[in-house]
Amino acid sequence: MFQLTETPIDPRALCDAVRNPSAGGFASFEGWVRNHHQGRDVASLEYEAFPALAEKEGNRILQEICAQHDIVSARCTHRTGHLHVGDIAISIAVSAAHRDAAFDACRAIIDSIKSTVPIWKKEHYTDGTSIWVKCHACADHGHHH
Amino acid sequence: MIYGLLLAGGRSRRMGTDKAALSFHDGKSQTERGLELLRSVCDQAFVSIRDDQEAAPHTIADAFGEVGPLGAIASAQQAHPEVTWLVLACDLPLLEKKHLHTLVDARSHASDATYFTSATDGFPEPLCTLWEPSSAAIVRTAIKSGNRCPRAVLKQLNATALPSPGLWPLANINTEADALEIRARLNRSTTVKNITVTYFAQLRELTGTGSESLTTDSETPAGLFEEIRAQHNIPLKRKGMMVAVNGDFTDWTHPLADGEEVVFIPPVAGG
Repeated sequence: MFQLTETPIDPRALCDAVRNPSAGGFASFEGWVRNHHQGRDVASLEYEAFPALAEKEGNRILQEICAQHDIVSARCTHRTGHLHVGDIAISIAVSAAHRDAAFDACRAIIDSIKSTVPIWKKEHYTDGTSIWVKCHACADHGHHH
Repeated sequence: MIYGLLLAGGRSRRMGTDKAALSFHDGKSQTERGLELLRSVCDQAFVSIRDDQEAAPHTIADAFGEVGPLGAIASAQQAHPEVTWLVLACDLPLLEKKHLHTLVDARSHASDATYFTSATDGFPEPLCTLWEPSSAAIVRTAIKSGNRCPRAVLKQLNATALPSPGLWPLANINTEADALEIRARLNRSTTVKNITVTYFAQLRELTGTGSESLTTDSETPAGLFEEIRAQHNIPLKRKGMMVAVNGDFTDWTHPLADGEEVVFIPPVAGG
């Protein structure tokens, strides 16, 4: 199950949600707000989602990856709104009978979520400026070649 | 004297099929049609080709390697330095003779170039432009210094900027969705629809709204996005973006229907 939340994520709750007597392995991933990006000092972040499609796509990814790996249970929660350095932006919990499947699925889930789930990130820098991450890549100096 | 240069040496990488060979007008290829347009206002017309394409009468091969349109322009200026070059891309099916007449009529000997302003971003439209002999030095210098962007070169020149002829006359084809949109306009088969567009993140900030209802005759989300780019002066391009209609991802070729809800999705950055 993929969820968005505007309040701080409790990774322990995700861990408990995937706990199962048939699971012998547990893997988790947390994405944290870092104080720097591409050489710039980051003060805080803002995440904004297209909520309905983000949840639909997040759930599709979890289902697809659970089907590809031998997974007992998987959960993912992504934060939206204004986050500060050290806050948890995303938490993923995966349980499986064996460790390989748990590690592999956890990695595959974060990679997929980063590439297709409609969530955007605005970085606020300590110098007072801010930028929507990745947006500059498609803006292409403001005109097309 | 004005000579015409049709740019047909591109590799059409995004389109995946040679754009010069596409046909939108009575079975005529875009090359044939482009030459016809150029001949209507020029003394002679040439086709620009890559140096690995077969030379033929009235072709000008790239003399500066594969550096894109600017190299083609410099090659033509080198071959005939004394003439004014009307340079035209081969992928503008909605461009008409009247637009070329507008350009030629506005020509001034005091200018290094004459161009239309882009409807979408206000920058010069470089691929339907008159390049005077006086522009040659700056074109050559730009190529030598590694600047391959014709729009940037036009900005350096003492050029005459004409108002945009609108979004569609200079619309080029890079994707299947562009081709659908352009064919619908040529066939006059477009229909008017009311569409709700919802904006998130940078698009919400750029448009200054979370959602708007639009009346459009675009046939695909691709056409609609071009309209919105022009209306709100949005610097984002479709390349790298996704689109959702009625809450699900879809293709840019999706046929828009009245009452649909569209969300444009710039590159995502979750996690």
